[in-house]
Amino acid sequence: MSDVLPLRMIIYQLLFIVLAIAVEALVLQKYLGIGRKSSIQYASTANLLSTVVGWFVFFISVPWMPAPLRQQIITYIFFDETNNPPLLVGLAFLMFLGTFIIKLQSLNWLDLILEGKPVVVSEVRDRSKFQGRKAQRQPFADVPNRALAVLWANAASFTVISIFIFIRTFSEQPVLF
Amino acid sequence: MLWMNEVFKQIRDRVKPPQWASWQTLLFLSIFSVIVAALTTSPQPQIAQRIISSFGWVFLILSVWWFVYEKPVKEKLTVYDLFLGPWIVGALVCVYLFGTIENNVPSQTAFISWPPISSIIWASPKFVKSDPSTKSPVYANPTKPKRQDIILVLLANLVISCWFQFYFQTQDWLTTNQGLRAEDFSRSSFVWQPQRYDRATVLSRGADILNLAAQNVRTELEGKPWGQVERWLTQLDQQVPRLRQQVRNELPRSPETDLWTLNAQVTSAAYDLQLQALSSRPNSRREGYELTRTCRITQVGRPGAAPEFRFNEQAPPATAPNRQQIVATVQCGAIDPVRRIEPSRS
Repeated sequence: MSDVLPLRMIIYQLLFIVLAIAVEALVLQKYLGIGRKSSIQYASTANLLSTVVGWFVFFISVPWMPAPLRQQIITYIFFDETNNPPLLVGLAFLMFLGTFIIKLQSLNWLDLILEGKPVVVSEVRDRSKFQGRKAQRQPFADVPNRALAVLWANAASFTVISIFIFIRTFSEQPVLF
Repeated sequence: MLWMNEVFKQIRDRVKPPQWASWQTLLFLSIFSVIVAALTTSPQPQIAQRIISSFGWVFLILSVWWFVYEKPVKEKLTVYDLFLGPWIVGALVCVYLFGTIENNVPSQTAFISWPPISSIIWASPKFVKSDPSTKSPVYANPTKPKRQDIILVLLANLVISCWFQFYFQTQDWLTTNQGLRAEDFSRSSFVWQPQRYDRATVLSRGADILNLAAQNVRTELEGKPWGQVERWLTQLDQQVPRLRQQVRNELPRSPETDLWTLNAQVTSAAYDLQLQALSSRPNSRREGYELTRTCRITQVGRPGAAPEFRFNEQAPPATAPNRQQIVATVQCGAIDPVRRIEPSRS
C-alpha cells in the first residue's frame, strides 16, 4: 500500500525520549532533592508533554509555511540534508526555549493535578521575623529553585541528544535497517 | 422427532448466555440488529437502515468491551502489566465512528483518534467506584498514583497519534512531489523504504529519456535545409524546453521519469549536439548520475529535383544549373557510460 514508513523517526524519538527522561530525572533529583520515583514521574510527564506540543506546533505550522521553507523541511526529512544551517540553529534555540517553558509549566500542572493544589516552593521567606545575618547571607543557589533545576535538566538532555545527533551526522553511513 | 428436540436443546444450550446480563447477550443483540438492518429496505438516504446498523455497532462495541474485561480474557490480554483490551475496543469505536462516516475503513481520522480514544477507554474504569451501600457505580476521583498513570498513558498515546499523523504527512508530501518517490532515502533519519531504491530502473529510465530525445531531434532535423537547421541550433535554449515537454508527454508518467532533467548543448563547431540527462540537484549531498548521448549533425548534398524539360513549349529549355540542395543529416551515437556525480559537500 505504501512504500515509505517513518520507522526510523519512531525509533529515534523513542530513544531520545528515554534518554531525556533518564538524564532529566537525574538532574531534577539532584537539584530539587526529591525522591527517585517522583523525579522520574516529573521528567517523563514533562518530556511527553513537550513532545506532543512540539508535534502539534509542527503539524499546525506545516500548511502555513512558505513553499521554499517546506521544501527545505522535506529535503531534511527525506534526505537528511541541511542547506540552511542558520535556520536549523535558530529552530533548535527556539525548541530549547519552548521545551523549557512547557516543562516548567507541566511540573506546575502536574502538581495541581496530583496534589489538588499548586505547590508553592518556599522561596519567599518569612520576613516578619528577624533572622539575623545568617538568613540574609544565605546564597540564592541553596534555595531549591524549580525553574533553575528545569533549565539545567533541559540543558543536560539537549546536550546528550545533540551529541547523539552529531555522532550520527558525522559517521559516514547511517544504520541500515 | 425426539432427536430433533435433542438437537434444538443442544443448540439452545450452546447459544444461551450463562446469564442475561453478559457479553453474549449484547453480541446476540448486535447480530440481530445487523440481520434486521440487512432485511430493512429504506429509500436512498437509508436513515432507518443506518440507525439499526449503528445499534448493531454499539451493541458489538459494548459486548467486546465487556468481553475483554472478563477475568480470564483480561489475563490473556495483559502483556508486561499492560492491558491491551482498551486498544481493541478503541479500534472498534474508531472504525464505527470514522470508518462509517468516511466510507473507507482505515481512514486518517480513525488512525489518529485511535490511541487517545483507547486511552480514555483505559482510564474510564478508574473514575468509577462502586458505592458501598447501594452497590451502584458512582463517580470518584482516582487516587494520586492512578492520576499520574492516566496522565502518562494519555500523553504517550498522543505521541503515538502524532506518529500516525506524521506518516500521513509524509504520504501527502510524496503524492504532491511525484519525483520524490523514486529517490534514495537511505540517508534519511526519519523514513524507511521497505522496497530498496533501485538504481537500475532509475538509470534505464534515464536512457529511455535520452533515446526519445534523440529520436525527436532526428525527426525534426533530418533532411531539413541546412539554414533551418542552423537556426534551430542557435535557438537551442528555446528548443530544449519544448524537447523536454515532448519527451515527458511520450513517456509513461512515473516517478523515475521525474527524477531526470534533460539538457542539450552544442559541443563543437561541426555541430555535435550533446543530449544530457541529469539526475542530481545542485548543492546536494546525494550522488547523482549523468547520461549523455551525442548526435552529430552534418550537411550532405542532396541532388535537387531533376530539371523538367518541357519540349512542347516554345521557349528554350531553362538552363538553370542543377543546384545541389544542402540538407542536414543526424547520426546519433550510443549512450555514453554512466557518469556518477559525486555528492558535493558544502
